[in-house]
Amino acid sequence: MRLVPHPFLARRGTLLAAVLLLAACKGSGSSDLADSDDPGDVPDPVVLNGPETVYGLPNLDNLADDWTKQDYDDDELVPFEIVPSAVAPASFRLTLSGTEQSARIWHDGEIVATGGTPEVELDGGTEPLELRVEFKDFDTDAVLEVEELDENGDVLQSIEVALRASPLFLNHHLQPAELIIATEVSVYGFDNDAMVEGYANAIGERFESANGNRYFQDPWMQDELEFGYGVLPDGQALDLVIDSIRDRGLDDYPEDVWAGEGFGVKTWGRGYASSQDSFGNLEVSPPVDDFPFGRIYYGAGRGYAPQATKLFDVLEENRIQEPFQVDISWLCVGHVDEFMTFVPDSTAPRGFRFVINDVDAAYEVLDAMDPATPLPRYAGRQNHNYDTVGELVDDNGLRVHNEDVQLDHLDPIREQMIAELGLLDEEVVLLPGLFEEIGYCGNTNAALIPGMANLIVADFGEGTNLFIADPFLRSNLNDQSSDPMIQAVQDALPAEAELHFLDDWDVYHLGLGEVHCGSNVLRTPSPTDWWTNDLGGSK
Amino acid sequence: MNRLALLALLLPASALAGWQDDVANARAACDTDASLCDVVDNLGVRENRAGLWFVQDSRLGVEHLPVLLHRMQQETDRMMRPALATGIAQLFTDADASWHPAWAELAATDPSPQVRSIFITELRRAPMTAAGPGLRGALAHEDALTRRDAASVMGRQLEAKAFVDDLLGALDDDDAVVRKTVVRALGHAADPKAADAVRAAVEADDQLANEARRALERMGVE
Repeated sequence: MRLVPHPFLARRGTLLAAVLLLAACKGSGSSDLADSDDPGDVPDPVVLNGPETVYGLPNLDNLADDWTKQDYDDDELVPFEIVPSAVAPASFRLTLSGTEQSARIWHDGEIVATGGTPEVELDGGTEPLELRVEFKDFDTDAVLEVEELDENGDVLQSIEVALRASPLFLNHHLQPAELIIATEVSVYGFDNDAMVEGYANAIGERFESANGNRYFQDPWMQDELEFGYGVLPDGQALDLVIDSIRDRGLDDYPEDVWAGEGFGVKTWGRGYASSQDSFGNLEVSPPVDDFPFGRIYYGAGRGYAPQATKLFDVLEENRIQEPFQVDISWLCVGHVDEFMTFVPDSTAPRGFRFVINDVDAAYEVLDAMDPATPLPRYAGRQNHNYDTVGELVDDNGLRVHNEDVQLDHLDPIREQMIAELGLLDEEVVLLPGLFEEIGYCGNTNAALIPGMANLIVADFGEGTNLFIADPFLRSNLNDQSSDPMIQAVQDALPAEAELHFLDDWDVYHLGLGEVHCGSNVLRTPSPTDWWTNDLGGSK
Repeated sequence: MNRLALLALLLPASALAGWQDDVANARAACDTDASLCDVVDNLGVRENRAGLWFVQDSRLGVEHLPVLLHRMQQETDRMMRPALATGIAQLFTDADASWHPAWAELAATDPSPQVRSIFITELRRAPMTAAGPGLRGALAHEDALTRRDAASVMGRQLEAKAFVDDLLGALDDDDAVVRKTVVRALGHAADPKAADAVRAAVEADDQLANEARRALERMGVE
């Protein structure tokens, strides 16, 4: 078997070629097959030969129209050859199995075998049989049996070729960033200009905004779409936007902006969406033991669950990033990104830290502040109605409520994350966070201090950038250096990261979201090997 | 005793009718100042991240309170009515004490459980002239979730100790969730005089044991 890994990732409309792994055939009609495991082997001319496995990417780009159009020259059709034995058979019989309608075989410009018509006979001869395989979806696992037949229809030799589409992977925070996106909104006298400018100033053209007027002023860019990908052994990849069934103002955005050649957009499920169908509630850990692509985690709880069961069925079946649930029933919005995340840190044992909100860490900062410190951003009925630090720290009702949040929710979730992911104590960072009850939300909770764990991670190859909600725990709103909460966060997060504290107050914080909720990141697919031991769910 | 009768005992007699009359006549004021109704009729109502509606409109001031209350009373949409309540609850925190009877009455008697919950939650940091009758009225409500909300807020109210007797009286509530919330609220209020009653409640209902342990710790007793 030979495999020459491609060092570069070809993306967005490039040829999605197969990896033809010419190897020992798993023939059933002959016992004298050549052993072609030796490096440099050429196919044994005596026996029927073909690749052991053909890898491909699902033909989901262009809104999956290409599958319907049936174009023989489409990039996603993966060519491979069957080399006949020296016998020169009268015909070949192809039999496709292991798939319903998710793979099909092409020959000479025509579809010759599908899940519905799995068997076909083609003319034999001495020339290699040129075939192509096309996959409809991720993680497709099929087998093509190729038989050489004589003039009487008797089988001379046969081989099996495994047909394998890349599993679907969701991005994690250690993958390089390529682009950050957010909606530019202005609604009822409030706008997110400060956050948009903060991004643009920090990363320039690597930030793009969507027009809020076009998308009904929907600011929750994280929630409508989830970036994922498929990748092949040669490094070629298909980007994918999973389009949530949430379908609020940004509903058309994935199709408008991302669908195209080499870029797929797909929705699993339909109908009523709960808040848990938003993709701020669908996150992935960095690689951990036994999970080289990380693990998916999402929020659910009694009475709180994603309704897009098809999507979550797919994710559950795709054990490569084996998902687990976290209780979010104590939150108004109910998304896992509201209180925890992962950030890169080259000084950490495995290159990352797990960050989770902590009430004691917040009070440690607040209690040390001068109680007379004015808090102009928190003052007033439209905000949180705390004029000074003293009012905040002396609010015993708030304090005992947060103690309960810590004991009842944050502590158990931290322990669960440690257990599920095998985290080390030194990998855990406690980030200050306070919560308050939301009366119009069944007395569940949302961040009182802007949720700073609700952050964006982006490394464009020049080091880690963390985009974090500005906590505004200071009197001079224009002087972040005077903010002790910012200082505490800087001390807690990796020193190598560049921290950008963005003003997300009016549009996001008061709408019960923060920076991560209002942004999304396109990342470079991970070239990590999933194929050698086929980590896919169907194996 | 029904809720209105209870409120009648808790509130000054003049208060009960006064704010209702003001609200009923509120739109008449728009004849002289059309902007009052313009703002309320074209109010900034947003969806939060969970898809729930809330008021976010910097034009809104206490002067809009009667018109906004009038609009809420006329509103039948199940999303809009609580949304309007979020705006009203904000204004109540700025309004003078003459509006406290309205706040209390809405918390205790509004037909919508969501609307009651909004006003109850805001009573946590309200003056006792609003919080006292509002929370006590809500604790007597027939809806268990409203009683739960009231008990929860009582324990964390700025004057939490003033509600300890009310909470002790609710320890034998018919609803298990309310009883659990009452025990927690007594812990939040941290008045050691409630310790014996909490211990007795655990003897009657061992489901309260964990909650009681934390409550007794907060009271500073074993």
